Amino acid sequence: MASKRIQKELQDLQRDPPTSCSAGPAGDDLFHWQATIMGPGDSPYAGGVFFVMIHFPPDYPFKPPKVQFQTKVYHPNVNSQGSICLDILKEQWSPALTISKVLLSVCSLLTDPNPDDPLVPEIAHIYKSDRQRYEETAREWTRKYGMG
Amino acid sequence: MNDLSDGDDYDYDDYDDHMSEDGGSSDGDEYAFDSQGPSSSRQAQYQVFSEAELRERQQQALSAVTSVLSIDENDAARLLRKYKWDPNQANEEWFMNADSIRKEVGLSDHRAPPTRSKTAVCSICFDSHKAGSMCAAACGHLYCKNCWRSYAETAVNEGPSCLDLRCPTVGCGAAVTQGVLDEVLDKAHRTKYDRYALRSMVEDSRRLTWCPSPDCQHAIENLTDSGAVAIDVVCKCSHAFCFSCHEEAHRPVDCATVKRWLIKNSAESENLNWILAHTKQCPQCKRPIEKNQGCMHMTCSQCRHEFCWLCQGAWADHGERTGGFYACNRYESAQRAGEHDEEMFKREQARNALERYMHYYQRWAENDASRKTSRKAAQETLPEQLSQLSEWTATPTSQLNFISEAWDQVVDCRRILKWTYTYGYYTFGAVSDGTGDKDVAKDVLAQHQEFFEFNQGQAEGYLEKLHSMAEKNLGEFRETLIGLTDVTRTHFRKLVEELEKGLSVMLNDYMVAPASMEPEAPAPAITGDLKGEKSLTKPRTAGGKRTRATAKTEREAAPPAQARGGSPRAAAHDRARGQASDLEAQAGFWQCSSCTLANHDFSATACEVCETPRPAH
Repeated sequence: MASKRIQKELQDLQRDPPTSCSAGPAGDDLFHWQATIMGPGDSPYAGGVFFVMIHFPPDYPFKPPKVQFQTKVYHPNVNSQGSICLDILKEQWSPALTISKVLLSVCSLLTDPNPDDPLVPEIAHIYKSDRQRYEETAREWTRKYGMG
Repeated sequence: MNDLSDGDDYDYDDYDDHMSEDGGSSDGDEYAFDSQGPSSSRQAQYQVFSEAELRERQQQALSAVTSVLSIDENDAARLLRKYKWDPNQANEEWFMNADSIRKEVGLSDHRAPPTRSKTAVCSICFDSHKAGSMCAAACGHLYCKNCWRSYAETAVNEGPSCLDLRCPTVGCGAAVTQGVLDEVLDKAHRTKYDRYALRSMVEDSRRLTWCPSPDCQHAIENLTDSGAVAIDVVCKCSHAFCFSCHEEAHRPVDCATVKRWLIKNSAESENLNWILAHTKQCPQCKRPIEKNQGCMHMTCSQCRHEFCWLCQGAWADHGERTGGFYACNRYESAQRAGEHDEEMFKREQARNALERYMHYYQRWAENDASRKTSRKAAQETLPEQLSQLSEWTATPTSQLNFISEAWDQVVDCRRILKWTYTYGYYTFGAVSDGTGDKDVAKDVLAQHQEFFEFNQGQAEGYLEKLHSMAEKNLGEFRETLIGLTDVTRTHFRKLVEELEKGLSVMLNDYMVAPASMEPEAPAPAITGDLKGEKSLTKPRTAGGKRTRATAKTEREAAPPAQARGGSPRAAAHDRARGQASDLEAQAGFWQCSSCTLANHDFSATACEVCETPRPAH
């Protein structure tokens, strides 16, 4: 079930690739993908390319995939390990969701951080109190890590 | 304070005197509590349910809702779960605000447009299927049966949260109907699902709880309205436990103390340290949660309660006034105020007081071990012995019931006695090590401790007497054993009740009682009952003064204020043992069946004290 469904998702992605992201198996292992996300134009991440690692559990799609940034990102909902705090990757997961929908959600999380449910409270605090400083730092990180 | 303790001394010593000097060691009558005394307000009223009875009860609750609201059973079950299985509340709330409740429970009316085509694509496996071979919840979102099966089975394997299964369509939230579940779940998963459904009734309802004994399928309903106090209940499987905390029955000690004590005793202290360091309980369902990643906003995977990991308050309380969502000031200010540190500090201190702890623990554990062996004896060897005895003495076994009753009493009392050590440990701890009661002055505490230990010693004495007597298992001791069982039962019952009231009350009762009697007389320990008063006329020996002096020296040598719980208690213990062995050694008396007094006059036809006729042998 899992590999069949992953294969179908792959075909869909190839046939109709979403703008601003791409994804596919990292090697021979179908359950281990790598994806790239382009920093959204209306965010301080614009111009950056962010690598994302995706691990499918054996009981996918009934259990959520594990999604992690490989590129360092300065964001209230992404920590230094690249873990992402996103509800649809945890308790709000549904088998009707797909990787392309997950990547789109990650994109929109880059545009609209959720500081009320932060993974890195310090960044969330700066985001809320000093938006300009947050944007500067995020741009700097994007230049440093996302444009290699 | 002085005069009080003097009077105190006197009374103690008088008892000592009788026990040690009077030879007879059998003046139990003096401290026998009135078995007809006022019954405890804590008398537990409860009912034991078997699994079949539970299902019947569940069915009744479901029908109460389905008949009124005309919804199907699966929907009714969801509604009842929301209202803790209270059909009345469920019905009322439904009538008040049907729409919002429907939405919350997933029973909305709105439906996806029906597919006109003959085939449809399942949006989980992305295969096309004949529309007729697919199913959907009330919302009409079609998925193939294979995907439904995996979806439902994954949920069932995740735990009781499967009872709230919703349509997989993002943003739909419609409840998965009974029909779909019946169609896709195999027997094993179905059984599991039904078990969760039954469990949910017992676990959600405040009045019901499972018997914690392994392999016991009974549930107990508490019929009294008594918040979080200790309530001893006995299941049909004969397991006695506390309704409130599910530990073994532990009156007179309260639940919080028992929890502290058991944590302390836990041999798996390493495990425990890990659990303490790495998990917190969900504030709502109390399941331990390990936070391995993510932010402070926690959602319990089982009960869906949302809370803050730091302060464990509801997430809804978080906002700008707690310093923003990301900084939980509530925790920091509470920590500054010492709220969170206290428990840690207490535990730290308790470790330093290891020696004192060992004293209480050893006695607690010994009584526990003794309880277990007694229970084993009562369950395994006793029936055989009884049938033998009935052969030898040509008595029907029904008339030998008194022996098993005595054994049951021994088992029961061992348990209570065991917990009095926990009571002592926490009540008389030095204030400095955090185990004592800070509100009680030191000297009062010392007095309380002495009084407590005296009573504990008394209880222990009775128990030892009864235990050795029961072990003898001799037919001619019938009357004695019955009397002693009764006296011991009453004594322990009173002890539990009085300890729950508090030592000050208990001590006051004790101090007041002698005033109504002749000054030389010792008061019955708690209330002057009829038997007790009569016994006061018994002549005393001159030994009283000597023992009193001894007792005083003893106290001076080991001031109870130091709370080592040592000599006075140990002395009471020794006295009790001596008493029991005296009894065995001496065959030169007959024991009154009513007041258990040892009568040395074998020609007498009635008890010297209470005038109960001597039973014919």
